[in-house]
Amino acid sequence: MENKEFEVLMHKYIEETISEEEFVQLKAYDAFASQRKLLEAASGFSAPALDIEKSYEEFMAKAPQKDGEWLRRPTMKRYYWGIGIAASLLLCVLLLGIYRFMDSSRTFATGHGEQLTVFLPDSSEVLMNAGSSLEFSEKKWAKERRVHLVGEAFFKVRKGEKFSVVTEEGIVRVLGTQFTVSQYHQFLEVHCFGGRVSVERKGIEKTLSKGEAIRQIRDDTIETWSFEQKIPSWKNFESSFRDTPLSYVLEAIAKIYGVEFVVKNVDVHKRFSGSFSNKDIDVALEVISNAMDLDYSKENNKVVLRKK
Amino acid sequence: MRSTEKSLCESEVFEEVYKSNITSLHNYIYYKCGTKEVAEDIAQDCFVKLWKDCSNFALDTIRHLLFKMANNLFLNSISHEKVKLKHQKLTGDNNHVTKVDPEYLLEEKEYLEKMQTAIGNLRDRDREVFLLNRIDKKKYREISALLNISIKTVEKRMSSALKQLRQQVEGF
Repeated sequence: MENKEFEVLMHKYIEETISEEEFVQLKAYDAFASQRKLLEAASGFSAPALDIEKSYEEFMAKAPQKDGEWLRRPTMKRYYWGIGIAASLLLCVLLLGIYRFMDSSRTFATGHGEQLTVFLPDSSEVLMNAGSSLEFSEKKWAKERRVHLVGEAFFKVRKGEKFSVVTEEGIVRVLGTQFTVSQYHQFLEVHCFGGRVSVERKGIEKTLSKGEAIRQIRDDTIETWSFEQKIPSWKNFESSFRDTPLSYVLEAIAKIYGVEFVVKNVDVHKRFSGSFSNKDIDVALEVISNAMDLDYSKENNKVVLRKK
Repeated sequence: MRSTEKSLCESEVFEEVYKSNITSLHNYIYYKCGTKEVAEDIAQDCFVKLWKDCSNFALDTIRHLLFKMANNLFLNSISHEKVKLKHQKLTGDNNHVTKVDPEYLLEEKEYLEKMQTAIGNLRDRDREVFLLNRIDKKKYREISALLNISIKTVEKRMSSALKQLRQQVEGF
């Protein structure tokens, strides 16, 4: 049996704190050679390799979002039932269309003032804002999770392989869970509500964390900022803009109410910050006119804005 | 005095803690249960708990805490398998060993296979200490802190593991 001294020396050997003299002593023990062999051989074993990045992504999908948003379904208030029914009908019609054209890709579109929740094949969820369209191929889905978006939408992405949102203004790739994409002509804005999102536009790639937003208009410098909200304001049928050029604000209103704008003598590059409900166009126009020092007149579906 | 000002609730801090600890946590559970999937799951679940309750933990005690949580979760899980580790020389890639006597190679292979089985036969508590030291290259002091046991206990378990391995591999 090995005695106490041998064990003490052995621990020193393992811990690499052994002196030369002690090592000579240790080598004299018969058991040393075979235990050394065991120790050395054991070092060559390994546990199954773990992919840290992948593990973290899985964790992100598993972890509860702090605000509990992940669990809550978008709820529609009573007076939006009409919209809901319209959206459901649209969905039914589209579903029917898909039966007919199994191979073709699926397209969803929202009209003025409409919002639509679309479930993707892996049960990821997309809430589309007014005047937007979403397209994806069910057939290729298993190979690549990719959707094409025109307009604005809020995404809740299930864990899995990379998920990309392709727009004319750039590509948004998800490494995590919740984000919005707002795309207009020459305009891309992304808000990240959870996890991490990577945005690529014109060859430049940026990564956003929870509570960060990014925007680029034309080729201007990229703007980034952080925000506090837990869900996009438009989800509650409210429009909110932060330092956004008037032209894009008007485009957003046009989508919600289905109106056409005529601007006279107005600098549409001037920026607007503020928010208004999506229920009353007069309130919206009032807010904007006041903030930007404008006069407005409305006839049918035509709104004329002019400088005061 | 708190030595840290950073909070675990910040996602960057959390991500860093996750990425720097997940491998050793995963390995630790693997040494107990022998199933990669279970090990991954338990390791992730520990972080889910940590995340839910992030404001209640100080950064400097997290490692020990994670190991403790992992151990509890492991005790609650049902699926245990015999731990079967891979050895680089058993996986067929022998290109780095040039011109070695084939008889020696065979002997070595037998030796390692015996050892693989013997490691699986160790008591859980001996095996985890032994492998944390051998594979994860952790010092006795680190192991003692992680598992909240004394260095003396670490030494005892190392000796015990070595003794049993020798008995099983060499037959005495």
